[in-house]
Amino acid sequence: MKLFPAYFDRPVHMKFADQEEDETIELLLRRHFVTNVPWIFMVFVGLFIPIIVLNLSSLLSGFGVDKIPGNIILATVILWYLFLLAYAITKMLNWYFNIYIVTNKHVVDINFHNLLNRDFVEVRLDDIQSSKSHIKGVIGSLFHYGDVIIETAAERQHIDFLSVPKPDAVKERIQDLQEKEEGPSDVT
Amino acid sequence: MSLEGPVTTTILTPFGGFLIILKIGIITLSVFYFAFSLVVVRQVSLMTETLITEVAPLLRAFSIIHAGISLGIILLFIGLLFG
Repeated sequence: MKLFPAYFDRPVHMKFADQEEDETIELLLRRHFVTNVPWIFMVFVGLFIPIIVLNLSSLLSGFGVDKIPGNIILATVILWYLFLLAYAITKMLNWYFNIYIVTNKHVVDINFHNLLNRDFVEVRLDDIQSSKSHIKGVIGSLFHYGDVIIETAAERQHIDFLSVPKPDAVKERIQDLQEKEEGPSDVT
Repeated sequence: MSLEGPVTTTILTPFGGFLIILKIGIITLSVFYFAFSLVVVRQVSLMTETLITEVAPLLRAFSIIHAGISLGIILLFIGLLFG
């Protein structure tokens, strides 16, 4: 998807915090945009819920629903759309700011768990012991995305790039960079 | 003193009480939404410092406009429900 790219090969106008002077970004990845389809579908369904409820309200008139003033109904509908917007914003920011970066020196995992929690993990290429890619299911095969699992000798034992586009190409690139960094070695 | 009139009738019936609670609930939720929008501004600011891109100023501007709109909605609700 060109509109919301999730795979940047050597992006030129991007930098991250703690990037060293001689460090260049080789790959910048996000989860494939297709992984957003479930919540986009839920938001789409949510758009119609007030219309459905207002049409059903004639059935609930026996419970006094028809006595609720129009201004309260209008405010409730606006509030519903606000919370739908909040859900969409949270999900979109979660996708946009969950980033995996491969540089010529490090592998960086920036996690944005929710609006209040985030973590930043950086592992040197020298500390990577192995990397493997894994494409899951029909959707993963169809849109060519999957996980890249990077085992490290660092404090954090593995970094997982989840649902990234072209996982096999990412794995190859990490291995190539690792070989450049430390000379040829047998990396699986 | 007469208890009749629009205000006393609204509050003193069970349904009137329910409507007051509903109105206060709506205002409270819109205040929560404003608080959420401020958290979004803070988080977008933090994350755009972590990942510096060309769209970062645009994202920050959107988050601030969103917070402004959510503040405007509180005022709209006060006017709509208690005006």
